[in-house]
Amino acid sequence: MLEIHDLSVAFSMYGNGREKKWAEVISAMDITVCRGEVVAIIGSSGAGKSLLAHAVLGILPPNARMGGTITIDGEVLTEARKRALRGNTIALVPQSVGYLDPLVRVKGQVVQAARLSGMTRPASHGRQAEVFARYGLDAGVGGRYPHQISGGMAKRVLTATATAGEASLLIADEPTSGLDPEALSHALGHLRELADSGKGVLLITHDITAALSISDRVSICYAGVTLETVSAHAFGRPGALLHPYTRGLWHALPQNGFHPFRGLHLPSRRGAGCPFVRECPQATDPCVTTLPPLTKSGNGDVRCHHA
Amino acid sequence: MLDAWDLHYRYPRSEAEIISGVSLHVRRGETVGLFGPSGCGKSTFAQLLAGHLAPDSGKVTLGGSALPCMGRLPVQLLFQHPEFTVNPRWRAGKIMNEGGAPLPDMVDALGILPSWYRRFPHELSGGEIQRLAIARALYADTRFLIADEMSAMLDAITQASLWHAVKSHQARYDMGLVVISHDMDLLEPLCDRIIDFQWGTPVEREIPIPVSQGGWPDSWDD
Repeated sequence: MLEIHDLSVAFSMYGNGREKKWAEVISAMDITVCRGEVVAIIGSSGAGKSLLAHAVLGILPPNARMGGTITIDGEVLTEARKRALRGNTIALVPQSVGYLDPLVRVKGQVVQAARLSGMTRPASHGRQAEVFARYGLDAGVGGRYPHQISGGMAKRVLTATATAGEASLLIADEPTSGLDPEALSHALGHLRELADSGKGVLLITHDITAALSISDRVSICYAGVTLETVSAHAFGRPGALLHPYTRGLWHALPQNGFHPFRGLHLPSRRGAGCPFVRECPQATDPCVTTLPPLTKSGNGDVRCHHA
Repeated sequence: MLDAWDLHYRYPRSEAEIISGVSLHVRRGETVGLFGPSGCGKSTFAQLLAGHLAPDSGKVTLGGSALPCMGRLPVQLLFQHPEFTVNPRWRAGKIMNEGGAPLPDMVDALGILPSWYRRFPHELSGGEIQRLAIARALYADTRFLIADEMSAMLDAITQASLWHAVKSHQARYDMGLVVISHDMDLLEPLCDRIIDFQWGTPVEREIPIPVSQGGWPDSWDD
């Protein structure tokens, strides 16, 4: 239902004096999410994961410039269309409590989310009670303000707010960070249930283990570029992974040997080539000069000259 | 030897003791994991062990005598949120040199770049600040390191690299290491023994784990 093709996002900045520059943060991201499916986007911090979510919702800051196409159910998303769809067809589970209104009781915010998606007032109150019950929030929690609830509760309130409407696409931005294992498995279970009920779920996270436990497909990003998209069970063995970065990621997991990378450079893209070229053990001349296209492979798509 | 003897601690205005009668003995060169759910007192215990909090009763000793409280401390503590442990008005270079010039090998191993030194903490990522915090904690005279969820917010590759740097420092200087985490997958390859730090249970429970053969892994190559 959601198709993102060749997305790029750049920010305008002022260098020396009045010289205007564009800093490209996302260069080439491609993601598809179907109904009934959980797709995880994995990447280190600064890979552009959250910006991708903001680009889909049309909430990028004013100095941002976007390229590429985003379609939903075959229809191209323009900025006007995004404004019309966000909140009712597309919902975001934001990263932190900071996204809740500090001056409104939690219950009111959930009711308002349901109202904005087109429900009547009595129906939205009913829905609020329903989602609170689903996420294990006591009725008493509804009367509290955001600063009076714990971090784990706030995560559940944010999910409740996003699912109060009838959204068919849910984008969850780091819904699991800061949760203990029990709360974590609950939160992930809820996302899986939402997908099983026919919604599309885009899960943005840096926690590979959490992502693999519920996802159908996993998309690996590095410095604003989608390097590989594979089915989640391909992550069970390194042989099924085609990109050197993805294989390195697999080997770096504590349960798979805990091997560090040779370089410790931070992801940033310079020049026109592959963003991973400075760390890559297989890098050759074409990798420095041209960004490889995303090509079909056995399990999914990969962007590498050597795959 | 870093020893905690029957520690008790209760937060002011709180009814129950969060730490009630916990003892722990860590040898130099050894790695001990503390595992448990959030809110069970792992972080409070870490602060008691490093001398950041004073226990209500019981004591912490280093080599048989009380922890020093002046100068560069031989027991260092690292946190999950390093951005709260640095002065926001200091540049990275000053932060890193707070306890004296860091070991050049450590700066190399952590991948700290000279281009960061002029930046303020808000211009660095969480992973970058954590590297500075590690460089600031690990000197030749650091005898014990307590890492409280040190890598919980980092991606897998950064996590593996930072632990690799810490473990090689440990081997070189015979440093004791206490790793606190809720992630058993992380603790198992790192630790010699793991202690299950459960709700309200003052007794330690040790989980026997196989000691990995062949030592600490080198960097991975295709």
